[in-house]
Amino acid sequence: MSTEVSETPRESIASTASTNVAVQMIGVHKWYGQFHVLKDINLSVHRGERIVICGPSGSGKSTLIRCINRLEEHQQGQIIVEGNELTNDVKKIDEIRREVGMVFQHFNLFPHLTVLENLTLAPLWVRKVPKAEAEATAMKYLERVKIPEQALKFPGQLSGGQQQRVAIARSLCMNPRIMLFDEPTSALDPEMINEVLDVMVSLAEEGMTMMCVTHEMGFARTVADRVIFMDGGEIIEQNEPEPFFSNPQHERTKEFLGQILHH
Amino acid sequence: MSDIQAEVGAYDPGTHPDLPPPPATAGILGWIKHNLVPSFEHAGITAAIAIAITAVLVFAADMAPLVGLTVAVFGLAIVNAIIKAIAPDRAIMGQTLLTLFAMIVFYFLLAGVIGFTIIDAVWDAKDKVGCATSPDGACWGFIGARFEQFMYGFFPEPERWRVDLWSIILTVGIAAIIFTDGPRRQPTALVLFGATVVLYVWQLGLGNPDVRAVLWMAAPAALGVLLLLPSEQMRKAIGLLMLLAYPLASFWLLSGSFGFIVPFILPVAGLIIASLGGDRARSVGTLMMGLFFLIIALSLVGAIFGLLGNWGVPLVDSIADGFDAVLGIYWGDWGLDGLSFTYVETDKWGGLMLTLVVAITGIAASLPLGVLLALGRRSNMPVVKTMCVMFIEFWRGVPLITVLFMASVMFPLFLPEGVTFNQLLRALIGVALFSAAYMAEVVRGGLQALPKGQFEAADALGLNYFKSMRLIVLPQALKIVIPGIVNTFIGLFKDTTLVAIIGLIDFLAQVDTGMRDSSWLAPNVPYTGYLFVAAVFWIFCYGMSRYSRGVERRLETGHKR
Amino acid sequence: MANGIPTGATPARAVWWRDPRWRSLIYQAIALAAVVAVGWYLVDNTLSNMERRGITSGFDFLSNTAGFDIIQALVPYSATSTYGSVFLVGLINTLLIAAVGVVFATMLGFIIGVARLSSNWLISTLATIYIETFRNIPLLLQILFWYHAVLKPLPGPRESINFLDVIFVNNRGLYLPLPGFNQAFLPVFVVLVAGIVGTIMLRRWSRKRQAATGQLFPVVRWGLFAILGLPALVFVLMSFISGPPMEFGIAKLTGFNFEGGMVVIPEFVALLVALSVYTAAFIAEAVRSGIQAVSHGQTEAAYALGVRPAPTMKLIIIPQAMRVIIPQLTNQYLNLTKNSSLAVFIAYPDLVAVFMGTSLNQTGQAVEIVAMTMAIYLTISLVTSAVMNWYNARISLVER
Repeated sequence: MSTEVSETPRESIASTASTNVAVQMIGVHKWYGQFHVLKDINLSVHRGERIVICGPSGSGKSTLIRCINRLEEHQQGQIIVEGNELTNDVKKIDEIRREVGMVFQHFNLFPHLTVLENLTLAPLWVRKVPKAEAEATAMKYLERVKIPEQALKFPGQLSGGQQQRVAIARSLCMNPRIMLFDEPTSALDPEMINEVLDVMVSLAEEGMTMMCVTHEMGFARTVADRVIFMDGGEIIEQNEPEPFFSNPQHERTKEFLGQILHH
Repeated sequence: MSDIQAEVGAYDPGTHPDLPPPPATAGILGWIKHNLVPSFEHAGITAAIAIAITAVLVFAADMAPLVGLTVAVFGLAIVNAIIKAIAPDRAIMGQTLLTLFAMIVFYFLLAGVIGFTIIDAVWDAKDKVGCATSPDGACWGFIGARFEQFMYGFFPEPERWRVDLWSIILTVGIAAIIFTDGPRRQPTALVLFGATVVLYVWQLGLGNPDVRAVLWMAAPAALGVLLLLPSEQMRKAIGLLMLLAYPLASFWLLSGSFGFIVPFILPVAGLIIASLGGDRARSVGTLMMGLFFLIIALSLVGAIFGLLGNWGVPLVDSIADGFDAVLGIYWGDWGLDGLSFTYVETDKWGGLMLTLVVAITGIAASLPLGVLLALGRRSNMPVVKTMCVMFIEFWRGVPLITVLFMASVMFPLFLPEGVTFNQLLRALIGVALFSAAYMAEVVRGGLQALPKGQFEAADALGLNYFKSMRLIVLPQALKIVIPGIVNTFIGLFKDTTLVAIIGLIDFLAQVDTGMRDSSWLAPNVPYTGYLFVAAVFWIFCYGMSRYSRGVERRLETGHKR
Repeated sequence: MANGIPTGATPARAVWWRDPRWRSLIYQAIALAAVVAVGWYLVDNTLSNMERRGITSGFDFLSNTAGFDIIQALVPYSATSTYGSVFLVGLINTLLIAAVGVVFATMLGFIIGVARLSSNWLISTLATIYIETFRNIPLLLQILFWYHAVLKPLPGPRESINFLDVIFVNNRGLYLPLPGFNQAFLPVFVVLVAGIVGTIMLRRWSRKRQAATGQLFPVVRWGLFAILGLPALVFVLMSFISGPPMEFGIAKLTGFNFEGGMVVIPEFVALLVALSVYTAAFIAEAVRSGIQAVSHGQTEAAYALGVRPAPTMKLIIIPQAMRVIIPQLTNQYLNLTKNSSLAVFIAYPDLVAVFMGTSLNQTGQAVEIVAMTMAIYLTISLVTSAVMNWYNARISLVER
């Protein structure tokens, strides 16, 4: 990994495009109106790397990962995903979104479609896969998340944990190279958190590139390659899980960890 | 580790200051980019092409510039659509063309409205000749000349102060309920007491030291007293007075007869006393209402005896006469007819005043009826429920026009020989029944929206049905549906125009008749007249809908937090 | 019972007047009796009043000659027709204005409703102005405005506004060419039918192909070509081969009035414009609320999967929005139908105007006529709400 990223970003793109960098953010700033939400974010994620982002609410962590598939637009800096820079170019955005899967806090399943239809929608209309193939893939992923028997039900008939597993399977059906998780367990009842985390752990074990906004510190400890702490729109500290938890450097990190680990 | 730590910016972690957003994404430019044209480059290109085409059209085809621009925009829109079909990513003109189109429409709209109402308008025309001097503008002279008639109909001129007082009480009453938490209540009360004195002197100066002068004084004085109460109590007091005493006062002021309302003072006063005061006041009030119901019951018995007497049952006739003799005193005017004003027949009522009378009576009568129907529809007594459902669905299923027709031609048939009531009362009954059905559905919505726990909690407290409804359920349900009630009222208010079908001259009909007068037959008079009516209705309805949306928003936040 | 073990005995009974079941029975009996008494009283009065006025009740009057003309009748009607025919003509005219009004109001309402949500501030402001203006002004005022202020002051037949000598507008109505077909139209018609059938088959085929290979086919584009383009081509071709396949009966000024062609009376136009414009404002609000009811997360989820905005709209937003929109839309259609009775104010010959108005005046059969007219509207309302209830039940079954 090049060390002069912030000094000469242009060159570094050329050098990293072919290497094993999945996501590269360089000097990214974002404002909501006058409010400065992301401040000079510099971050690169390797292929196969598992990253957990944590921080108090309003620290910009969700905004950060939502910028990666351009659900939010950044106003300054560069974001390069799998060698494609995110600009206003609609084609580029589409390409990137096809490669990046996303799981939302509130699942966002399509309530008027069955589970199976939820899973096949994007393969049919975006990848233009034959229906039989799309359904086969869908069933394969439903089996992976252990709910093949729910295929013909509607999302409203499933429990929260099942819905979130369907949402993960829906993203996997597009064969993404990167998965983004936006607080996937925080809308779930406690007894359902583990079934979702299990799926995420098995995904991680298969080598999927993952960026995960979560407060599940157990998950971070066992799975993450790197933990990032954000506050006030900045990356305050990042480290491997072991040193991050045992020896936080920054005052605010200590304070934050103190608050959440005591619960 | 070094790998990770290398990725740092210009500031130490946690010290990055809040910076202002880049100029192109904030401020006016940002606003334009966000709300009008997503890309300045595309907008520039499109505007340049559109202007070039316009220039060609103006110079070569001799078109007016705005027409040329319109043609250019539509032409380019077609081109853009074709490009979009072939190469979606190259169709960059869409948003800019939309903006240009909207600008053209806005221009025509503003130019049209300002041109008609101000620039080209005639302000001081005395008749159609004056109006015809500028046929492209409004003829405000028409409104000016007929204004009083549009407001009061044919209400006799010397008596119009009654309508004024009536509408002032209405306005102030509603304003006081809406703006209960208004600032500076005591000073306002003092000003009102001052106004009382001024009004009294003024009335004395006019040579009116009678009921009229007292009334002019009494209105602000009463409001002043109410303002000295704490705000919740004041709201309740004004609400009760407007709901119960105001209808009686309206009848007195508008028709002029005091004698008619005398028997009803007892129950109304009883209800107000019972609702406002403490325990003792409550028993006094209840006693007053009880007395009234006893009198009604006795009167009914008398009437039944009268009927039986007519059928030849012996003896009962004389009993009925006895009842009549005793109760006749109660139902009489108690010698208070001296308080009456000149009687004004309802066929002299008209204009905006009549519109308000119909709308307000409609809402005042439909609210209690609607609540009863809604409770009936949700009751678990099948007979009551079925009757309520049938009643509601019937009135909701037919147009108001047919209801008014029915009121006009069938109500006279319903009544025994010799009993008639006038056209206005027929319309009022029709309107009240019609809107009661709609009101019932609104209230039902509120009852359904209440969590079941509220009903259960009321039961658990040992309240009986009526108490739990009155104390727990209805106050909450009615509060939730205030927006719905206001919306129903807006609909009713607009629908009052239909009473013209049975010969009542409401506001719209009054203006409509006025513009057909041969001395005002100019081409711009109908436009002016309709615009005037539309503006008045619009102000009322839009104002109410803003209020209802305001309440809705307050309720939403109230529910969330 | 002393040892606390429940035995088979029924619980002790309350005194009957304190038993809620008895109470409810008594209340209901009282309510029923009151309603019956009032009803009986009213009916009794009505019968004796009718007797005194010499009105014979019954529906015999329907076969009497009406003796008045109606300016718009879609079924044969003349002054010698019966009151029964008047009823029919009025009913058809009501249904006609309602049907055409529904079509126009829906189109206008959807355009305004979508414009209301436009990201373009000017467009959404224009839509807001439209909605707030037209729904806060009484419908009757709008009808009178279009009729008395716009259409009636138009020039007379001799000074008609003339569009290319084909369409004429004056204060007697809108004169349109009446299309007439001859034999040369047959091929055009055949191609048109073939186009429609072909498009349906094309749609099926493309669905099958998408299922099999995943390939999408632009059905809409080719379907439009097959249904509109091809027949137009054949039309032009036939014009060269055997002369024009259609002849238009164009209105001609003869004497003081126009003859021939198709006439749309100004009463219809005024009522149609006012009803459509007024109802469109409410439909626009329904459309807006429907689309806004679909949470933003749905769009985001579709975008995150790489689905483009157009298919997102078609596959995700519209199907969900329609569930909110359709009940409100139906309600507005019912309102429009009921509001069409305002026709009586400008003498458009709808059911209320010719039957409840003129016929009632002439025959005095108030009870029968009021009952028949109300029954028609009531039937329309109840049938529609029954269908709506069925629809809602089905939707909630599907989605859960």
